[in-house]
Amino acid sequence: MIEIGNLALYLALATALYAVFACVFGAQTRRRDFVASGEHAAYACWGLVGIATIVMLHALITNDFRIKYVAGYSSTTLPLRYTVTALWGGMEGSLLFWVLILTSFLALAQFQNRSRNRELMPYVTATSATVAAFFLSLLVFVTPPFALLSRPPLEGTDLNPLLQNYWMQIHPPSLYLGYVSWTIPFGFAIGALATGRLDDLWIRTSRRWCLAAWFFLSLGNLFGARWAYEVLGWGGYWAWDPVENAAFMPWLTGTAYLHSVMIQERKDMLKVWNMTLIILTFSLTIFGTFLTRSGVISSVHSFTQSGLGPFFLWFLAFIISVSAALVVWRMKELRPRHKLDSILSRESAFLFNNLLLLGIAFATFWGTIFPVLSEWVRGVKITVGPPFFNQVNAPLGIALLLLMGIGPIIAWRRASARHLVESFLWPSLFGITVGLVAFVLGMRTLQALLVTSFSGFVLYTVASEFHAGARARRAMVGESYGAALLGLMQKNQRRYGGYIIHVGVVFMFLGVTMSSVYRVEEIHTVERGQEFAVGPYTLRYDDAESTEDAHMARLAATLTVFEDGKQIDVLHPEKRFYKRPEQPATEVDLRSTMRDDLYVILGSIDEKRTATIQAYVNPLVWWLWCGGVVLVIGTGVAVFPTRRARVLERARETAAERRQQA
Amino acid sequence: MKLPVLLCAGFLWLGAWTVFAQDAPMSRAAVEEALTCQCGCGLTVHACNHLQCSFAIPVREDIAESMERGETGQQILARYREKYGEKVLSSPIATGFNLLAWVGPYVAVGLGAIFIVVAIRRMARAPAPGLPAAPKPADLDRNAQQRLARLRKEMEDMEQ
Repeated sequence: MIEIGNLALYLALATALYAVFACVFGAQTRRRDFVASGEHAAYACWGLVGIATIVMLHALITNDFRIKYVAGYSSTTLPLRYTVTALWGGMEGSLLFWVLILTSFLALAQFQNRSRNRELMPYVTATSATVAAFFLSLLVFVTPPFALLSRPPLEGTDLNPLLQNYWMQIHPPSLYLGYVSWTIPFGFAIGALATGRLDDLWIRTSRRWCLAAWFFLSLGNLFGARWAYEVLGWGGYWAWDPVENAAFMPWLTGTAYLHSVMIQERKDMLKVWNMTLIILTFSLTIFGTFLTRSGVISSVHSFTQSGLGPFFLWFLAFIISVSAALVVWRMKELRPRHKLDSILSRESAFLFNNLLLLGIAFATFWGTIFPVLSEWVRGVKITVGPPFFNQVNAPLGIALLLLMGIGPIIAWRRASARHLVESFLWPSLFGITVGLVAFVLGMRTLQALLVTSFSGFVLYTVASEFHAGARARRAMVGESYGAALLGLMQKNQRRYGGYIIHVGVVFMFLGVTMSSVYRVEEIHTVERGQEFAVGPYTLRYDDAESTEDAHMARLAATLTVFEDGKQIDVLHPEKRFYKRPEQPATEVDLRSTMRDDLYVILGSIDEKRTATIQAYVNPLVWWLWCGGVVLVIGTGVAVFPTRRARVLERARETAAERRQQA
Repeated sequence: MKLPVLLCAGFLWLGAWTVFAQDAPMSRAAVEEALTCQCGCGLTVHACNHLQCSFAIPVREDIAESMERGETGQQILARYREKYGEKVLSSPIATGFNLLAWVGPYVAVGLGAIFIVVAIRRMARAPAPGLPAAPKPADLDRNAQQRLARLRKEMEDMEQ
């Protein structure tokens, strides 16, 4: 089996390289047979990577400790679900998993476009196959996943205990899906630059891919935050760690891209900007991979550190150079055909939205690499941690929240004074009222007041957009209000899906701000039967219980939760002691409500069963996760393939083809 | 040029605010947040959840005692910086080269904002590329002027 895995990887590399050559040669010389051959090679590459992955999974499940990777990340006592997740628990496995996703996506993109976009597709295949070839080269020449041990151990080292968690089963795949999906739109952009088809065809064709990439990246970040919240046990969910930042930056630039393409589609403008954004987003996914794996910046999340950094840096330099050269080469054709008319317009709001998103991305990038810069320039090691990122990004984030309300209701082209008053009067009054009510109720922090007020403003604008649209449709078609709302979303999925996503983001803003500003925490050492208060809750420590199996020993405390004298819950925070590797881990327990989360950590228990308990009350943090669910619904509305959407898309494609032929 | 100047001033103010905010009085939690735990957890002294942490716990106790004695947050941070070096601080001190870390993002966003404003204003003044200049209202007869006005109003209504 091991030989099959190795052979599959060698052949996959060969087929990827051939796919690049055949597609580029075929496209340049207009030889369809070469293009077809290149695409078949890409399918073969996918199959071969699939075989290598199956071999690795088989080795993990059968505990084949002859393989160094299996011995390093699995054990005979590891539950099956974690044995499977060990595939992405280490460097070689995660790279293999990455290539599997990439080649699968390429195969899917080729299949979707088997009879359309034939001009662009050779370059999409060539670009994606180049990226696949890079990762396969690492797997074949630098970090072979099937490397053998000269003396196989009887038992494996096991998966890092921190990764033995439900969220770690779904967080890395979501993040990888998000990272890797950007390769396809990037491939379309390169195809547009190479062929000179610089209209909005490549944008429309890759729109669903972009949304999917953005969606999975959003989920990946949220799942990661949830994992940190439940597993790392420090009461928070985002620590501005370099690896977290690495996933956040492409999300920001991708969000900017999803907004700015609307201007290109509508006004045939910002072509250079959109190209730059898609190149930047893809480059940041590679940069993120570099950060996670290079070890150049220390991170609590770097479970897969290695010496691969220079390879990623060179590849990144290659991507940026080639892309930039293509943009410069096509600069004349990328010039806009139309112009912007006024600063008071939706186009400008989109541009400022882009500026703020990129500003936050830059601040995050700057803070992440600044320790390295400081060491280079001054020879002094410094730390850039959460206080820096919070202080620098908070004003930009709050301004972005305000723009989320302005963008959807300000007029395209030019907003007159009358329009501004009509559109903004009620949302502004509502936002101010919400802020005042919050102030009267005791909110005194400026940041919290601004976020509350702006959230009210944004929610009002979104609600009024839905209401006005449904009312108009009801008047025209004579439907019920509910049917009119549904019809409205069906008719313009992208717009209303976007609005729903905005609502989700507002919930996230509220959750993040309130749980950061108004968090309450207590730490107490208590004996059995003793109580202590935290926020509105009283906790009584009842007892502790220890259990043990072949995999780990558990020590769990039982805490009864009271509010206003009434028992409302029983919590069981745990301390776990994994046997291989010998490592303690914290298993927090929490009671989550819409108002707040009661978050309890068991610190220690001595021989008299006296326990040290750390408890937090995190207000409104539930809304952060709820915002994630709303975001999922909004993305679903935006991309759900309805018959109407398919017909419209086909009509647009036909029109574009005709324009091109003319 | 009023708007670019205002934008410039606004972002300069934000940059200055982030720098000077570091001299403001600090709470105990803020001082703990301003120090990075050296146990390897990667978190701040305030957030470190290792309940037997050999660094965070004594430092928290020291901060509490020092503040009770009347020492300011800045003085406590200076003491720790002297003992462990700059790496113990969770954010760069706003002097010298480190100023770049604080003001860099605001300078970048400020320049971007000014660029957008200037570019839009220039575009708004220039005729649309590839199109002949629009006739001046004075060149049109009364009927044409009325039609043009109606058309503009309808377009505005439609776009709103």
